[in-house]
Amino acid sequence: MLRGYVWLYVFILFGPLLLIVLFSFHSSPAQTFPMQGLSLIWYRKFFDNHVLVESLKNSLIVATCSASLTTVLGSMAALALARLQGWKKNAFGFLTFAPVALPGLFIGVALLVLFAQFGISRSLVTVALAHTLISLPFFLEASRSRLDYFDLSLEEAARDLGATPWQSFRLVTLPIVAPTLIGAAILSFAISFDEVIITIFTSGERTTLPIAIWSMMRQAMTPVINAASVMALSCVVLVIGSFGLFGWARRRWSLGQRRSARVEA
Amino acid sequence: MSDAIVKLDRITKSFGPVKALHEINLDVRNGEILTLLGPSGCGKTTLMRIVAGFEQPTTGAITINGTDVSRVPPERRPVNMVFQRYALFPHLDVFDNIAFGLRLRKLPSKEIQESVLKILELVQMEDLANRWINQLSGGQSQRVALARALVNRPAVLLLDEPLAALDLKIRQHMLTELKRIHVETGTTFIYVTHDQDEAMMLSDRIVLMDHGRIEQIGTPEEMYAAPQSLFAAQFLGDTNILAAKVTVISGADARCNIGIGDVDVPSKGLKAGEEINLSVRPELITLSEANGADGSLTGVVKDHAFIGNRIIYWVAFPNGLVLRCQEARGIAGITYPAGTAIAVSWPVQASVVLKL
Repeated sequence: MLRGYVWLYVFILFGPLLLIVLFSFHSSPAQTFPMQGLSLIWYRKFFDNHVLVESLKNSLIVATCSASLTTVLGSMAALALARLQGWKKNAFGFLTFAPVALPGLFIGVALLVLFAQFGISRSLVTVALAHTLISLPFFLEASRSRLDYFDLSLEEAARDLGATPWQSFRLVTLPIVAPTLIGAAILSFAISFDEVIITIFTSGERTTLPIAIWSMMRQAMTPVINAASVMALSCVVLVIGSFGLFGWARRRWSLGQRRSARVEA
Repeated sequence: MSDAIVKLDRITKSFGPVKALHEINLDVRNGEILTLLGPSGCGKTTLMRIVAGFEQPTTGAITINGTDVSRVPPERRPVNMVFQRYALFPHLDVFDNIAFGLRLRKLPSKEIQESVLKILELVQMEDLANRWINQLSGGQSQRVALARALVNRPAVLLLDEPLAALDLKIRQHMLTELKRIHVETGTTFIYVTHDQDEAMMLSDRIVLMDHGRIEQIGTPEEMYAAPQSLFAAQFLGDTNILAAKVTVISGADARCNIGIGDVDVPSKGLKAGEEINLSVRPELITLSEANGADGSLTGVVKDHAFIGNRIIYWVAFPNGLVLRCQEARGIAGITYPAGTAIAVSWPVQASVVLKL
């Protein structure tokens, strides 16, 4: 029973994904079974479409910028929250997470008004700022679960052994919490990459891939959209995968370094 | 050996409205093991954290090696600490944990290598230099924490309840190890614990603390044999506390009434009619079969417990008083079964007078 349920669950979760990937390689525009043959024609059409390629680039730029900004701001906030105690911790913890419950429409309009007030014209910069705003709560929530358990006596131990506050952060705190922060950064990247509503309100002439796909769909449902979606998916998977690989390689490397250093000595 | 390496001069510490320490004056002698002992919340950990530099005293001054360090941050104090739950760096292996302090001092790597290996030998962890921290047992973590602190050759080693997280067997073994390491390094130890057995076994001197004040300072034997307060008498070891009233002073002895009869106690500083407490250790009470002799304290064995090397008898008296008495186990084993009428007595010097 339980086993069957788990399979059903997984199928519902990943079935649609699989379908899109499958049809993006379909040689015919029909999106029905049985499949008639495989081809890369939709991918070619995707890369021939200037608007789509440009918007994919924009998406990557925006997601990278907003994820970086989120990581810097979010890490500092999460580390500060981990040090707060009592009602202050609860209050600030709530305030930082509450924006998640706000409707995207509301945030979008609010930002639109704000940017207009300050005379900031809409561009990829405003999109990246807006994305930072909405991914910050998620970043904080994802990293706090781990940072709240960070043993502050580790920092005291570092100080005790002669580290300045900055050294103890750089040599002890940061290396220990880095995997958590990287995970939260990837989450922010993913959130920014496929954000639609707020992007509509804050983008100018240049737009992101989800918006480009959406406006294409208003005209006709073409299988190019499948290819575009798969491209978007690949980007996110690639980012997650490369960070994972990077972390793994670094561990291997530093371990090897140390071993060889010992052997020499 | 007896010059002070750490001097605490009228240290007080308040956390908001809460006074954690009241006017602490304390000299730590060079090379000794000094234990800060007391129940949780007595201020012992705060006092140690002030020595380490993690807390600033509200008033007062702290001197280490003749230098006032009251406003010096922890990284520039010549002390190192063994933390209660070790606080080993989980992202570094054993070697790098121990080398952490030396690397911060930018010592040449060859020297670091030598120092770390030497200290690993001292704590008998030579084979585990490449282990990750999460691969260590509690006892091994403890050794690494010790090595990481000692490798920096601190003037004073601070140990914050270092054995609290270990099981009994390993704890006893680590105690003897600590003594050995103390002898081999000659470093001054300040040791914080709430465990009186640890304090008795390890210390050259014990500082007994309660409610942010020092109750008494002395060698383990002084603390046990001559407590100066009710708190000290009860905190260290088991004892019987008897409410007493001085009736007659005759030379070196004072006769006191303790409700179940009269006993003689040392008269020093006592006046007739004064009300006092007496502390009588169970092992100093002599038991004998009741023979109805005049003036003997006679009760009935209520219960007994066989501890192995000793036997404890609870002797009840008609007025409800119960005395805890202890005999070394002899060949005969339990000599007084429950219900036996029994006479108790103890020498004059066994009564420790505690003024109210």
